[in-house]
Amino acid sequence: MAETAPPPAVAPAAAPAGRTPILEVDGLRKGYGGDPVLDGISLQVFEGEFVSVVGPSGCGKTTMLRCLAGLLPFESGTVRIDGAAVTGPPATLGIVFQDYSRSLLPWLSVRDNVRLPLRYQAISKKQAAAQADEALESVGLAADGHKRPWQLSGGMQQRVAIARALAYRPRLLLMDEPFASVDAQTRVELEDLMLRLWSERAMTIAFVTHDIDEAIYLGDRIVALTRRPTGIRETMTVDLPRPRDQIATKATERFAELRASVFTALGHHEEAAG
Amino acid sequence: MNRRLWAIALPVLTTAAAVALWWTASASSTSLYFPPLSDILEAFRANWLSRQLTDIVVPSLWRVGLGMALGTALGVAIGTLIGAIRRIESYVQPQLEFMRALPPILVIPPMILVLGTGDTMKIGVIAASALWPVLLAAVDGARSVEPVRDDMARVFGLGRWARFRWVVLPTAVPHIWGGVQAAMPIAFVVMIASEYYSSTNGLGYFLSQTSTSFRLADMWSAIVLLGVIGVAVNSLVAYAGRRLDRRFGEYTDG
Repeated sequence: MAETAPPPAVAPAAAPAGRTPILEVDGLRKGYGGDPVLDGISLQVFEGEFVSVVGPSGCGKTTMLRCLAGLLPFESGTVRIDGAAVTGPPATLGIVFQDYSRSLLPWLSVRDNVRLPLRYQAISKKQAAAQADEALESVGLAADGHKRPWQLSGGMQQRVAIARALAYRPRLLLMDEPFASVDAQTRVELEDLMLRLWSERAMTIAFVTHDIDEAIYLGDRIVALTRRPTGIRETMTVDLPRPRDQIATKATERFAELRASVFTALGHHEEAAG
Repeated sequence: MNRRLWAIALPVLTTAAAVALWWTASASSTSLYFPPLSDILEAFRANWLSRQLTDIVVPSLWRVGLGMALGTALGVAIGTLIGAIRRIESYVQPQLEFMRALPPILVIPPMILVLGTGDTMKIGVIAASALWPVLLAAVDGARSVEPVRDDMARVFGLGRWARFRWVVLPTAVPHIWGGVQAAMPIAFVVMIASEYYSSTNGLGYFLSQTSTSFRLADMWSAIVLLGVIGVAVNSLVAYAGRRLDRRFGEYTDG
Protein backbone atom coordinates (compact mmCIF):
# COMPACT_ATOMS: atom_id res chain seq x y z
CA MET A 1 0.00 0.00 0.00
CA ALA A 2 2.84 2.33 0.84
CA GLU A 3 4.42 1.76 -2.57
CA THR A 4 1.47 2.82 -4.69
CA ALA A 5 2.06 5.12 -7.60
CA PRO A 6 1.36 8.80 -7.14
CA PRO A 7 -2.36 9.40 -7.26
CA PRO A 8 -3.80 10.10 -10.70
CA ALA A 9 -3.74 13.71 -11.65
CA VAL A 10 -6.99 15.56 -11.46
CA ALA A 11 -7.77 17.95 -14.26
CA PRO A 12 -7.19 21.55 -13.21
CA ALA A 13 -10.55 23.18 -13.13
CA ALA A 14 -11.28 25.45 -16.03
CA ALA A 15 -13.69 28.30 -15.75
CA PRO A 16 -17.14 26.88 -16.46
CA ALA A 17 -17.97 28.43 -19.81
CA GLY A 18 -20.75 30.96 -20.06
CA ARG A 19 -21.26 31.27 -16.34
CA THR A 20 -21.27 34.50 -14.40
CA PRO A 21 -18.61 34.90 -11.78
CA ILE A 22 -20.07 35.93 -8.41
CA LEU A 23 -16.81 36.18 -6.55
CA GLU A 24 -13.60 37.27 -8.28
CA VAL A 25 -10.42 37.52 -6.27
CA ASP A 26 -7.29 38.75 -7.98
CA GLY A 27 -3.86 38.98 -6.38
CA LEU A 28 -5.16 39.41 -2.83
CA ARG A 29 -2.34 40.21 -0.42
CA LYS A 30 -2.55 40.79 3.31
CA GLY A 31 -0.05 40.81 6.11
CA TYR A 32 0.17 41.74 9.74
CA GLY A 33 3.07 44.05 10.53
CA GLY A 34 5.30 42.92 7.68
CA ASP A 35 4.47 39.25 8.23
CA PRO A 36 2.64 38.14 5.09
CA VAL A 37 -0.47 36.03 5.66
CA LEU A 38 -2.12 36.03 2.25
CA ASP A 39 0.30 35.95 -0.62
CA GLY A 40 -1.45 36.79 -3.86
CA ILE A 41 -4.67 34.80 -3.82
CA SER A 42 -6.64 34.63 -7.05
CA LEU A 43 -9.80 32.62 -7.43
CA GLN A 44 -13.24 32.76 -8.93
CA VAL A 45 -16.56 31.38 -7.80
CA PHE A 46 -19.31 31.14 -10.39
CA GLU A 47 -23.02 31.49 -10.01
CA GLY A 48 -24.64 28.40 -8.57
CA GLU A 49 -21.32 26.79 -7.68
CA PHE A 50 -20.37 25.04 -4.45
CA VAL A 51 -16.67 25.69 -4.02
CA SER A 52 -14.73 24.12 -1.17
CA VAL A 53 -11.67 25.98 0.01
CA VAL A 54 -9.43 23.61 1.90
CA GLY A 55 -6.19 24.35 3.68
CA PRO A 56 -4.14 23.27 6.68
CA SER A 57 -5.06 24.62 10.10
CA GLY A 58 -3.74 28.07 10.83
CA CYS A 59 -3.08 28.82 7.17
CA GLY A 60 -4.96 32.08 7.16
CA LYS A 61 -8.34 30.83 5.94
CA THR A 62 -10.22 33.08 8.29
CA THR A 63 -8.09 36.08 7.35
CA MET A 64 -8.85 35.37 3.70
CA LEU A 65 -12.54 35.07 4.38
CA ARG A 66 -12.63 38.32 6.33
CA CYS A 67 -10.91 40.05 3.42
CA LEU A 68 -13.42 38.60 0.97
CA ALA A 69 -16.30 39.73 3.17
CA GLY A 70 -15.03 43.28 3.32
CA LEU A 71 -14.41 42.99 7.06
CA LEU A 72 -10.66 43.37 6.82
CA PRO A 73 -8.76 45.81 4.61
CA PHE A 74 -6.02 44.25 2.49
CA GLU A 75 -2.81 45.64 1.03
CA SER A 76 -3.20 44.86 -2.62
CA GLY A 77 -5.29 42.96 -5.11
CA THR A 78 -8.98 43.18 -5.81
CA VAL A 79 -12.05 41.38 -4.54
CA ARG A 80 -15.23 41.69 -6.57
CA ILE A 81 -18.58 40.37 -5.56
CA ASP A 82 -21.22 40.50 -8.25
CA GLY A 83 -18.90 42.71 -10.26
CA ALA A 84 -18.56 45.38 -7.59
CA ALA A 85 -15.24 45.92 -5.83
CA VAL A 86 -15.46 45.04 -2.15
CA THR A 87 -14.61 47.88 0.22
CA GLY A 88 -16.99 47.00 3.05
CA PRO A 89 -19.37 44.10 3.66
CA PRO A 90 -21.51 43.79 0.50
CA ALA A 91 -25.26 43.58 0.90
CA THR A 92 -25.37 40.45 -1.25
CA LEU A 93 -23.16 38.43 1.06
CA GLY A 94 -24.07 36.13 3.94
CA ILE A 95 -21.75 34.30 6.31
CA VAL A 96 -21.98 31.29 8.57
CA PHE A 97 -19.19 31.41 11.15
CA GLN A 98 -17.55 28.47 12.88
CA ASP A 99 -18.31 29.76 16.34
CA TYR A 100 -22.09 29.56 16.37
CA SER A 101 -22.51 30.37 20.05
CA ARG A 102 -20.64 33.64 19.59
CA SER A 103 -22.12 34.56 16.23
CA LEU A 104 -25.67 34.21 17.58
CA LEU A 105 -27.03 36.75 20.04
CA PRO A 106 -27.90 34.99 23.32
CA TRP A 107 -30.28 37.79 24.35
CA LEU A 108 -32.56 37.23 21.37
CA SER A 109 -34.81 34.28 20.65
CA VAL A 110 -33.94 32.01 17.75
CA ARG A 111 -36.57 33.69 15.60
CA ASP A 112 -35.37 37.20 16.46
CA ASN A 113 -31.81 36.17 15.67
CA VAL A 114 -32.92 35.13 12.20
CA ARG A 115 -35.05 38.24 11.76
CA LEU A 116 -32.48 40.74 12.96
CA PRO A 117 -30.67 41.29 9.63
CA LEU A 118 -34.03 41.63 7.87
CA ARG A 119 -35.04 44.58 10.03
CA TYR A 120 -32.52 46.68 8.17
CA GLN A 121 -33.57 45.63 4.71
CA ALA A 122 -36.12 47.36 2.55
CA ILE A 123 -38.77 44.73 3.11
CA SER A 124 -42.01 44.80 5.06
CA LYS A 125 -42.27 43.34 8.56
CA LYS A 126 -44.63 40.70 7.22
CA GLN A 127 -42.26 39.74 4.46
CA ALA A 128 -39.37 39.60 6.95
CA ALA A 129 -41.34 37.35 9.28
CA ALA A 130 -42.26 35.08 6.37
CA GLN A 131 -38.66 34.84 5.19
CA ALA A 132 -37.42 34.08 8.71
CA ASP A 133 -40.06 31.42 9.35
CA GLU A 134 -39.43 29.80 6.00
CA ALA A 135 -35.69 29.69 6.68
CA LEU A 136 -36.20 28.19 10.14
CA GLU A 137 -38.56 25.62 8.66
CA SER A 138 -36.04 24.65 5.99
CA VAL A 139 -33.39 23.87 8.60
CA GLY A 140 -35.89 21.91 10.69
CA LEU A 141 -36.31 24.40 13.52
CA ALA A 142 -39.84 25.63 12.83
CA ALA A 143 -40.90 24.64 16.37
CA ASP A 144 -37.92 26.19 18.16
CA GLY A 145 -38.27 29.84 17.19
CA HIS A 146 -39.24 30.97 20.68
CA LYS A 147 -36.22 29.38 22.36
CA ARG A 148 -32.96 31.09 23.13
CA PRO A 149 -29.93 29.83 21.19
CA TRP A 150 -28.23 28.46 24.30
CA GLN A 151 -31.17 26.19 24.96
CA LEU A 152 -30.31 24.32 21.75
CA SER A 153 -27.55 21.83 21.02
CA GLY A 154 -24.47 22.94 19.10
CA GLY A 155 -25.69 21.47 15.85
CA MET A 156 -29.06 23.16 16.23
CA GLN A 157 -27.38 26.47 17.00
CA GLN A 158 -25.45 26.19 13.79
CA ARG A 159 -28.74 25.48 12.01
CA VAL A 160 -30.01 28.78 13.40
CA ALA A 161 -26.95 30.54 11.99
CA ILE A 162 -27.60 28.85 8.63
CA ALA A 163 -31.25 29.91 8.75
CA ARG A 164 -30.20 33.48 9.49
CA ALA A 165 -27.99 33.46 6.40
CA LEU A 166 -30.73 31.87 4.26
CA ALA A 167 -33.38 34.35 5.35
CA TYR A 168 -31.03 37.14 4.36
CA ARG A 169 -31.10 35.72 0.81
CA PRO A 170 -27.50 36.37 -0.11
CA ARG A 171 -26.14 35.94 -3.63
CA LEU A 172 -23.02 34.43 -2.14
CA LEU A 173 -22.82 32.45 1.07
CA LEU A 174 -19.44 32.18 2.78
CA MET A 175 -19.06 29.43 5.34
CA ASP A 176 -16.03 29.53 7.65
CA GLU A 177 -15.36 26.00 8.93
CA PRO A 178 -18.99 25.88 9.97
CA PHE A 179 -19.01 22.29 11.17
CA ALA A 180 -15.60 22.16 12.83
CA SER A 181 -17.03 22.41 16.35
CA VAL A 182 -19.83 19.83 16.19
CA ASP A 183 -19.66 16.09 16.75
CA ALA A 184 -19.20 13.69 13.84
CA GLN A 185 -22.83 12.56 13.60
CA THR A 186 -24.13 16.13 13.64
CA ARG A 187 -21.53 17.12 11.11
CA VAL A 188 -22.78 14.50 8.65
CA GLU A 189 -26.35 15.73 9.10
CA LEU A 190 -25.35 19.34 8.59
CA GLU A 191 -23.36 18.50 5.46
CA ASP A 192 -26.38 16.83 3.93
CA LEU A 193 -28.57 19.72 5.04
CA MET A 194 -26.28 22.14 3.21
CA LEU A 195 -26.34 20.03 0.06
CA ARG A 196 -30.13 19.93 0.14
CA LEU A 197 -30.46 23.67 0.75
CA TRP A 198 -27.92 24.42 -1.95
CA SER A 199 -29.73 22.33 -4.56
CA GLU A 200 -33.17 23.65 -3.58
CA ARG A 201 -32.15 27.29 -3.65
CA ALA A 202 -29.58 27.43 -6.41
CA MET A 203 -27.22 29.26 -4.08
CA THR A 204 -23.56 30.02 -4.59
CA ILE A 205 -21.46 28.79 -1.71
CA ALA A 206 -17.82 29.19 -0.80
CA PHE A 207 -17.16 26.68 1.95
CA VAL A 208 -13.93 26.92 3.91
CA THR A 209 -12.82 23.79 5.74
CA HIS A 210 -9.73 21.94 6.86
CA ASP A 211 -11.48 18.60 6.39
CA ILE A 212 -10.55 17.08 3.05
CA ASP A 213 -13.40 14.54 2.96
CA GLU A 214 -15.89 17.26 3.69
CA ALA A 215 -14.43 19.47 0.98
CA ILE A 216 -14.72 16.72 -1.64
CA TYR A 217 -18.11 15.48 -0.51
CA LEU A 218 -19.69 18.91 -0.74
CA GLY A 219 -17.90 20.75 -3.52
CA ASP A 220 -18.07 21.15 -7.27
CA ARG A 221 -14.53 22.39 -7.15
CA ILE A 222 -11.80 22.37 -4.57
CA VAL A 223 -9.39 25.20 -4.01
CA ALA A 224 -6.38 23.90 -2.09
CA LEU A 225 -4.41 26.47 -0.14
CA THR A 226 -0.76 26.41 0.84
CA ARG A 227 0.64 26.98 4.30
CA ARG A 228 1.46 30.53 5.37
CA PRO A 229 1.96 32.80 3.61
CA THR A 230 -1.17 31.47 2.04
CA GLY A 231 -1.50 31.12 -1.69
CA ILE A 232 -3.45 28.81 -3.93
CA ARG A 233 -1.76 25.47 -4.43
CA GLU A 234 -4.18 23.94 -6.84
CA THR A 235 -7.77 24.05 -8.05
CA MET A 236 -9.53 20.83 -9.01
CA THR A 237 -12.89 19.80 -10.27
CA VAL A 238 -14.86 17.29 -8.23
CA ASP A 239 -16.44 15.13 -10.90
CA LEU A 240 -18.55 13.08 -8.54
CA PRO A 241 -22.19 12.73 -9.56
CA ARG A 242 -24.93 14.41 -7.57
CA PRO A 243 -26.98 13.82 -5.51
CA ARG A 244 -24.21 12.64 -3.25
CA ASP A 245 -24.54 10.11 -0.51
CA GLN A 246 -22.48 9.89 2.66
CA ILE A 247 -21.89 6.16 2.21
CA ALA A 248 -22.12 5.48 -1.51
CA THR A 249 -20.22 8.57 -2.68
CA LYS A 250 -17.46 8.17 -0.15
CA ALA A 251 -17.09 4.48 -1.09
CA THR A 252 -16.35 5.20 -4.75
CA GLU A 253 -12.90 4.82 -6.20
CA ARG A 254 -13.09 8.31 -7.59
CA PHE A 255 -13.62 9.73 -4.09
CA ALA A 256 -10.48 7.97 -2.92
CA GLU A 257 -8.52 9.30 -5.90
CA LEU A 258 -9.70 12.82 -5.25
CA ARG A 259 -8.84 12.54 -1.60
CA ALA A 260 -5.33 11.39 -2.48
CA SER A 261 -4.95 14.30 -4.89
CA VAL A 262 -6.05 16.83 -2.33
CA PHE A 263 -3.81 15.27 0.31
CA THR A 264 -0.90 15.55 -2.11
CA ALA A 265 -1.77 19.10 -3.00
CA LEU A 266 -1.78 20.05 0.65
CA GLY A 267 1.64 18.47 1.12
CA HIS A 268 0.37 15.51 3.10
CA HIS A 269 1.59 12.92 0.65
CA GLU A 270 3.48 10.94 3.28
CA GLU A 271 0.48 10.68 5.53
CA ALA A 272 -1.80 9.86 2.63
CA ALA A 273 0.38 6.99 1.50
CA GLY A 274 1.39 5.73 4.90
CA MET B 1 -33.18 19.92 51.59
CA ASN B 2 -31.59 20.01 55.01
CA ARG B 3 -28.78 22.01 53.52
CA ARG B 4 -31.13 24.63 52.14
CA LEU B 5 -32.92 24.95 55.43
CA TRP B 6 -29.57 25.38 57.12
CA ALA B 7 -28.58 28.04 54.58
CA ILE B 8 -31.63 30.07 55.58
CA ALA B 9 -31.42 29.33 59.31
CA LEU B 10 -27.74 30.16 59.74
CA PRO B 11 -27.86 33.92 58.94
CA VAL B 12 -31.04 34.25 60.98
CA LEU B 13 -29.39 32.59 63.96
CA THR B 14 -26.18 34.63 63.76
CA THR B 15 -28.19 37.83 63.43
CA ALA B 16 -30.24 36.88 66.48
CA ALA B 17 -27.05 36.13 68.37
CA ALA B 18 -25.55 39.50 67.41
CA VAL B 19 -28.69 41.34 68.48
CA ALA B 20 -28.79 39.40 71.75
CA LEU B 21 -25.14 40.24 72.38
CA TRP B 22 -25.77 43.92 71.70
CA TRP B 23 -28.86 43.81 73.89
CA THR B 24 -27.18 42.26 76.92
CA ALA B 25 -23.94 44.21 76.58
CA SER B 26 -25.75 47.54 76.35
CA ALA B 27 -28.60 46.73 78.75
CA SER B 28 -27.05 48.40 81.77
CA SER B 29 -25.24 51.08 79.77
CA THR B 30 -25.34 54.55 81.23
CA SER B 31 -23.10 55.98 78.51
CA LEU B 32 -24.61 58.93 76.71
CA TYR B 33 -23.08 57.78 73.44
CA PHE B 34 -24.06 54.13 73.62
CA PRO B 35 -27.59 53.92 74.97
CA PRO B 36 -29.13 50.50 75.72
CA LEU B 37 -30.48 48.70 72.66
CA SER B 38 -33.91 48.72 74.26
CA ASP B 39 -33.85 52.55 74.16
CA ILE B 40 -32.71 52.51 70.54
CA LEU B 41 -35.50 50.12 69.57
CA GLU B 42 -38.01 52.24 71.42
CA ALA B 43 -36.74 55.27 69.47
CA PHE B 44 -36.86 53.19 66.29
CA ARG B 45 -40.50 52.34 66.94
CA ALA B 46 -41.38 55.94 67.69
CA ASN B 47 -39.47 57.40 64.75
CA TRP B 48 -39.83 54.88 61.99
CA LEU B 49 -42.98 52.89 62.67
CA SER B 50 -44.92 56.09 62.32
CA ARG B 51 -45.81 58.65 59.67
CA GLN B 52 -42.45 60.26 60.20
CA LEU B 53 -40.94 57.39 58.20
CA THR B 54 -42.31 58.71 54.93
CA ASP B 55 -41.67 62.36 55.85
CA ILE B 56 -37.99 61.73 56.47
CA VAL B 57 -37.07 58.70 54.41
CA VAL B 58 -38.92 59.46 51.18
CA PRO B 59 -36.99 62.68 50.38
CA SER B 60 -33.71 60.82 50.93
CA LEU B 61 -34.66 57.82 48.80
CA TRP B 62 -36.03 60.14 46.15
CA ARG B 63 -32.68 61.93 45.94
CA VAL B 64 -30.74 58.68 45.79
CA GLY B 65 -33.08 57.28 43.15
CA LEU B 66 -33.01 60.34 40.92
CA GLY B 67 -29.27 60.86 41.37
CA MET B 68 -28.55 57.20 40.57
CA ALA B 69 -30.83 57.32 37.53
CA LEU B 70 -29.13 60.44 36.23
CA GLY B 71 -25.61 59.22 36.93
CA THR B 72 -26.35 55.81 35.41
CA ALA B 73 -27.91 57.29 32.27
CA LEU B 74 -24.95 59.59 31.73
CA GLY B 75 -22.46 56.88 32.60
CA VAL B 76 -24.03 54.41 30.17
CA ALA B 77 -24.26 56.96 27.37
CA ILE B 78 -20.70 58.21 27.68
CA GLY B 79 -19.17 54.88 28.71
CA THR B 80 -20.61 52.77 25.89
CA LEU B 81 -19.63 55.48 23.42
CA ILE B 82 -16.04 55.47 24.66
CA GLY B 83 -15.96 51.67 24.74
CA ALA B 84 -17.44 51.33 21.27
CA ILE B 85 -15.07 53.81 19.67
CA ARG B 86 -11.74 52.29 20.60
CA ARG B 87 -9.73 55.11 19.13
CA ILE B 88 -10.84 57.64 21.73
CA GLU B 89 -10.49 55.27 24.64
CA SER B 90 -6.75 55.56 25.17
CA TYR B 91 -7.02 59.35 25.17
CA VAL B 92 -9.64 59.59 27.88
CA GLN B 93 -8.61 56.65 30.08
CA PRO B 94 -6.21 58.67 32.32
CA GLN B 95 -8.80 61.38 32.90
CA LEU B 96 -11.42 58.75 33.77
CA GLU B 97 -9.08 57.10 36.26
CA PHE B 98 -8.35 60.49 37.79
CA MET B 99 -12.03 61.32 38.18
CA ARG B 100 -12.77 57.92 39.66
CA ALA B 101 -9.98 58.29 42.20
CA LEU B 102 -11.51 61.47 43.65
CA PRO B 103 -13.54 60.83 46.82
CA PRO B 104 -17.15 61.52 45.85
CA ILE B 105 -17.94 63.74 48.85
CA LEU B 106 -15.15 66.03 47.73
CA VAL B 107 -17.49 67.42 45.09
CA ILE B 108 -20.03 68.64 47.64
CA PRO B 109 -18.42 72.01 48.54
CA PRO B 110 -17.84 73.10 44.91
CA MET B 111 -21.28 71.80 43.95
CA ILE B 112 -22.85 73.93 46.70
CA LEU B 113 -21.18 76.95 45.13
CA VAL B 114 -22.44 76.08 41.67
CA LEU B 115 -25.86 74.56 42.35
CA GLY B 116 -26.77 76.11 45.70
CA THR B 117 -27.93 74.08 48.70
CA GLY B 118 -31.23 72.75 47.34
CA ASP B 119 -32.27 69.43 45.91
CA THR B 120 -30.50 70.16 42.62
CA MET B 121 -27.17 70.15 44.43
CA LYS B 122 -27.90 66.94 46.35
CA ILE B 123 -29.15 65.06 43.31
CA GLY B 124 -26.28 66.45 41.28
CA VAL B 125 -23.70 65.28 43.81
CA ILE B 126 -25.24 61.82 44.01
CA ALA B 127 -25.34 61.63 40.20
CA ALA B 128 -21.71 62.75 39.98
CA SER B 129 -20.64 60.08 42.45
CA ALA B 130 -22.62 57.32 40.70
CA LEU B 131 -21.37 58.39 37.28
CA TRP B 132 -17.81 57.07 37.50
CA PRO B 133 -18.29 53.46 38.56
CA VAL B 134 -21.08 53.10 35.98
CA LEU B 135 -19.15 54.88 33.26
CA LEU B 136 -16.03 52.76 33.71
CA ALA B 137 -18.09 49.57 33.83
CA ALA B 138 -19.88 50.63 30.63
CA VAL B 139 -16.54 51.24 28.88
CA ASP B 140 -15.47 47.75 29.92
CA GLY B 141 -18.76 46.24 28.82
CA ALA B 142 -18.82 47.87 25.42
CA ARG B 143 -15.23 46.79 24.86
CA SER B 144 -16.01 43.16 25.59
CA VAL B 145 -18.10 42.56 22.46
CA GLU B 146 -17.06 39.30 20.80
CA PRO B 147 -15.17 40.11 17.58
CA VAL B 148 -17.14 37.44 15.70
CA ARG B 149 -20.36 39.06 16.81
CA ASP B 150 -19.24 42.40 15.46
CA ASP B 151 -18.24 40.74 12.17
CA MET B 152 -21.63 39.06 12.00
CA ALA B 153 -23.49 42.31 12.56
CA ARG B 154 -21.47 44.13 9.90
CA VAL B 155 -21.87 41.36 7.31
CA PHE B 156 -25.60 41.24 7.87
CA GLY B 157 -25.97 44.91 7.12
CA LEU B 158 -26.40 46.36 10.63
CA GLY B 159 -25.29 49.98 10.68
CA ARG B 160 -23.53 51.73 13.53
CA TRP B 161 -26.65 52.44 15.51
CA ALA B 162 -28.12 48.96 14.95
CA ARG B 163 -24.87 47.35 16.09
CA PHE B 164 -24.94 49.53 19.17
CA ARG B 165 -28.57 48.71 19.91
CA TRP B 166 -28.42 44.95 19.31
CA VAL B 167 -24.84 43.99 20.06
CA VAL B 168 -22.88 46.56 22.10
CA LEU B 169 -25.55 47.59 24.57
CA PRO B 170 -26.81 44.08 25.48
CA THR B 171 -23.20 42.93 25.92
CA ALA B 172 -22.57 45.84 28.26
CA VAL B 173 -25.70 45.40 30.41
CA PRO B 174 -24.30 42.92 32.98
CA HIS B 175 -21.13 45.02 33.27
CA ILE B 176 -23.14 48.21 33.68
CA TRP B 177 -25.20 46.62 36.41
CA GLY B 178 -21.98 45.70 38.18
CA GLY B 179 -21.20 49.42 38.08
CA VAL B 180 -24.62 50.28 39.47
CA GLN B 181 -24.08 47.77 42.25
CA ALA B 182 -20.77 49.44 43.13
CA ALA B 183 -22.27 52.94 42.87
CA MET B 184 -25.28 52.30 45.12
CA PRO B 185 -23.50 52.35 48.52
CA ILE B 186 -21.51 55.40 47.40
CA ALA B 187 -24.75 57.15 46.47
CA PHE B 188 -26.09 56.49 49.98
CA VAL B 189 -22.96 57.89 51.60
CA VAL B 190 -23.12 60.98 49.44
CA MET B 191 -26.84 61.39 50.08
CA ILE B 192 -26.31 61.35 53.84
CA ALA B 193 -23.31 63.68 53.59
CA SER B 194 -25.05 66.19 51.35
CA GLU B 195 -28.11 66.25 53.60
CA TYR B 196 -25.85 66.58 56.62
CA TYR B 197 -24.23 69.68 55.12
CA SER B 198 -27.42 71.48 54.30
CA SER B 199 -30.97 70.31 54.32
CA THR B 200 -34.32 70.69 55.92
CA ASN B 201 -35.38 67.09 55.59
CA GLY B 202 -34.07 63.61 54.89
CA LEU B 203 -32.10 61.04 56.87
CA GLY B 204 -28.87 63.02 56.79
CA TYR B 205 -30.66 66.01 58.21
CA PHE B 206 -32.22 63.83 60.90
CA LEU B 207 -28.79 62.45 61.79
CA SER B 208 -27.26 65.91 62.04
CA GLN B 209 -30.17 67.22 64.14
CA THR B 210 -30.23 64.31 66.57
CA SER B 211 -26.47 64.03 67.00
CA THR B 212 -25.91 67.75 67.57
CA SER B 213 -28.76 67.89 70.10
CA PHE B 214 -27.58 64.72 71.85
CA ARG B 215 -30.72 62.72 71.06
CA LEU B 216 -28.46 59.75 70.63
CA ALA B 217 -31.05 56.97 70.87
CA ASP B 218 -32.81 58.69 67.97
CA MET B 219 -29.55 59.00 66.10
CA TRP B 220 -28.81 55.31 66.62
CA SER B 221 -32.29 54.40 65.47
CA ALA B 222 -31.61 56.25 62.20
CA ILE B 223 -28.37 54.35 61.78
CA VAL B 224 -30.18 51.05 62.29
CA LEU B 225 -32.78 52.14 59.75
CA LEU B 226 -30.06 53.07 57.25
CA GLY B 227 -28.55 49.63 57.69
CA VAL B 228 -31.89 47.97 57.06
CA ILE B 229 -32.54 50.12 53.98
CA GLY B 230 -29.00 49.45 52.74
CA VAL B 231 -29.39 45.69 53.03
CA ALA B 232 -32.78 45.82 51.32
CA VAL B 233 -31.58 48.00 48.44
CA ASN B 234 -28.39 46.00 47.93
CA SER B 235 -30.30 42.71 47.85
CA LEU B 236 -32.74 44.19 45.37
CA VAL B 237 -29.92 45.40 43.13
CA ALA B 238 -28.18 42.03 43.39
CA TYR B 239 -31.41 40.22 42.55
CA ALA B 240 -31.96 42.46 39.51
CA GLY B 241 -28.35 41.75 38.54
CA ARG B 242 -28.98 38.01 38.53
CA ARG B 243 -32.06 38.53 36.38
CA LEU B 244 -30.10 40.69 33.93
CA ASP B 245 -27.34 38.07 33.82
CA ARG B 246 -29.89 35.48 32.81
CA ARG B 247 -31.27 37.80 30.16
CA PHE B 248 -28.01 39.09 28.69
CA GLY B 249 -25.27 36.76 29.88
CA GLU B 250 -23.38 34.27 27.75
CA TYR B 251 -24.37 30.67 27.87
CA THR B 252 -22.55 27.75 26.32
CA ASP B 253 -24.32 24.63 25.19
CA GLY B 254 -25.61 22.23 27.75
